[in-house]
Amino acid sequence: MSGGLAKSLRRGAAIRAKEWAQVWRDPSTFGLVVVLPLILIFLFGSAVSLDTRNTPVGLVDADRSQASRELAGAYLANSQFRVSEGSAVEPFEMALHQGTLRGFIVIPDGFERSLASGQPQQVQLVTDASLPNTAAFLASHTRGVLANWHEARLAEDGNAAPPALSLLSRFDYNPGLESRHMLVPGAIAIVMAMIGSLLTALIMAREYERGTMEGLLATPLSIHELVLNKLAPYFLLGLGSMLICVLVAVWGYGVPMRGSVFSLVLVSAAFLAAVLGQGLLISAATKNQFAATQFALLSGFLPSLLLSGFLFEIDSMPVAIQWITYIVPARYLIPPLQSTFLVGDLWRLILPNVGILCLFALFFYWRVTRAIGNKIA
Amino acid sequence: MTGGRLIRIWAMALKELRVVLLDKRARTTLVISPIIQLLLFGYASTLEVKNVDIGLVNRDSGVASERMLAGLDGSRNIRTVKVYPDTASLNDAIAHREVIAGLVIPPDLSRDVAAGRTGEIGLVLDGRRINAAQIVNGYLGEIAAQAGAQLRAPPAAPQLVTRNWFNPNLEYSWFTMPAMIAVITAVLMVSVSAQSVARERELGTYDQLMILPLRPHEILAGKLVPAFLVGLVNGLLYVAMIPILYGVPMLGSVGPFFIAILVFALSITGIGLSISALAQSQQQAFLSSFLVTVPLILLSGYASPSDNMPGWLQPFAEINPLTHMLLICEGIFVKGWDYPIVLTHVWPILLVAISTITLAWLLFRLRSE
Repeated sequence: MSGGLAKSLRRGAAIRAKEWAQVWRDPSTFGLVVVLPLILIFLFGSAVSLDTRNTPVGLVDADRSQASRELAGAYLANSQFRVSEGSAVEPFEMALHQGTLRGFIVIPDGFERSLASGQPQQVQLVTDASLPNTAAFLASHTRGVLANWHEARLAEDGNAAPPALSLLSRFDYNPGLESRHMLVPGAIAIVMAMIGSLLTALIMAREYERGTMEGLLATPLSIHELVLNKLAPYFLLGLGSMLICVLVAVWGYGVPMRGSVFSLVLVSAAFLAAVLGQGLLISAATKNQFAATQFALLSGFLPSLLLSGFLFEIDSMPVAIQWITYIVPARYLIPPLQSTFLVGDLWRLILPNVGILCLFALFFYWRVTRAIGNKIA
Repeated sequence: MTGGRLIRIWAMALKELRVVLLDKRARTTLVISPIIQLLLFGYASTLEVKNVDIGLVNRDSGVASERMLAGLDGSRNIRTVKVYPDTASLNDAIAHREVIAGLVIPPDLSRDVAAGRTGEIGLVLDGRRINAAQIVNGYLGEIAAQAGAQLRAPPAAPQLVTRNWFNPNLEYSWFTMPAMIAVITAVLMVSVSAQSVARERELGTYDQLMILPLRPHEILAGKLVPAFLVGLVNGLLYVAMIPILYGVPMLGSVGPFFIAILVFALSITGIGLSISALAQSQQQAFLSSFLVTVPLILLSGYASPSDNMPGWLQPFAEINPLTHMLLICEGIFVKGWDYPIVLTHVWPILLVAISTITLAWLLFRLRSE
């Protein structure tokens, strides 16, 4: 019995050594494990920004009165948009059409007189809504500046009328409203999904494509030994890649790490187990490297990006799409991962998600061993 | 002479097309996968925040809190309001993602309002989901302002009237869908062209290719065809599908779009072929193409407007063919762009196309010797 175990361990070690040799020989694996995390964290940390500070906006003051100059001054001094003043709307309309301007504000002629008469005129905003997000932000900030300016004006005249209700908002876990604190866990999910489903799909499909799979199956390895030992190096690569992401995020970009390393590794390991299984299943089903990569992109990368709740709120999606998200492993990774960074170890949130990921892993493992086993029989 | 060359290129292209289209699984993935992507992207990518669950700790029983609660009930974006006995359990519910935000109404809210002061309602939001939380903050601020106006009429203030050009109802799909044409075709074309030379090298048929009476640029031209056609066909297919499936208006005409996607397909295929000339195996080709495509997409203005990228990254956005193709797609669909404006964005793509094809040719010649 113990002799059998020793042999099994030796066989496993041989397969792992073969996989490691293949990993080391191919610089593209290094690219995926080290360069991809660095690029993603860098892009999400530096390039993808939801700020609007450089958004170009035009302003036309058709009234040219004291009040309108004050309001124009409030817009020109704001820190949310880059406002430039013009004398007519036509050039701004042209620029909006060409896409060099995101919107323009028009203070109407007679604005000051209408204020004095107690029936103030409307200030106009025209937005380029082909970028709907920017247009919505622009509208709400333009409205805010207008309301603040008017309140301050009333207060100066001694007519201050405080609103009946107001909200005192507080953003827990991310008081600085930094979007990169939300994006970094998402980047980690993408990197692990790529290594898990894409790399494993490629390596197994290659064995099939080159005809070396039969050679592997003819060895005295059992299916379980083969699958587990073949996956082991990629499991470690995935964890290593995750750690690179975390180090760069925490030290490079100042993302807080309030939970423990243990919970981080636990959640990541459970997710990796699931996506590695998924990758194996894809390769066993396609047996062709090109088809495997396309399928891995479609079922691994894109769902992790779009259906995991990382970029888009799952509750806001149509019901049919919400059902699909339940079979996306990344859906169960994002909440505990974000919490581990920004809140701490919330075991009541972590453990159910880890449990579901383990079920995914078991299911995929069962399917894979059956798919490969059938080929032998 | 030229006739012979054309026939050689044609034979090469035919062989390449067969390789891509003969494999049944590869064929399905080339046709099915872009359509699934279009559907998933379209329906999943919503920046609206609907069906929100809100927590509430209410210590006021007066008219002010009643108005606020009525406002919450009337909101079409809020699904349920869950009541919690104290702030500790509310904070716990936010931490465990039962609710995205919680209102804390203080005991003297109605008294403050009656006394002519501003009644302040506490609001705690889940900063982990910072985007959705900011949008929910906006919804609740609006509800509080309206409830407040019912309690005490505010003085007449100048209002803002907004006209949203090109997309009056701010439909997010009107932005995503045209953008998808550029993004999906780029991903497809890079992955198809990156495989082409790498596969031959891996399978060992590359040497046979070398002994054929074909010049390197003729092989290259033949290799270019499948990816180019895949991009072109899918792009035109999307232009036909998007107005029908998602109701996005197509105000411009197909002519300028066709010219733009031709040049765009050349530039992207050039990138893919360069990768392919360098790669030793299909794995390398695929992983490298992924390493190239992800930055191309994230720096194109698809994920966030390029206005706000740091200044030193702006040149990268400027030479990125995807940036220009994205603008062209948006422009032709919702702004009705015609040739003059489209062409101002086509020529930068053309420059990129010339450089990437030249690069592919140089690398290819280098590796052939």
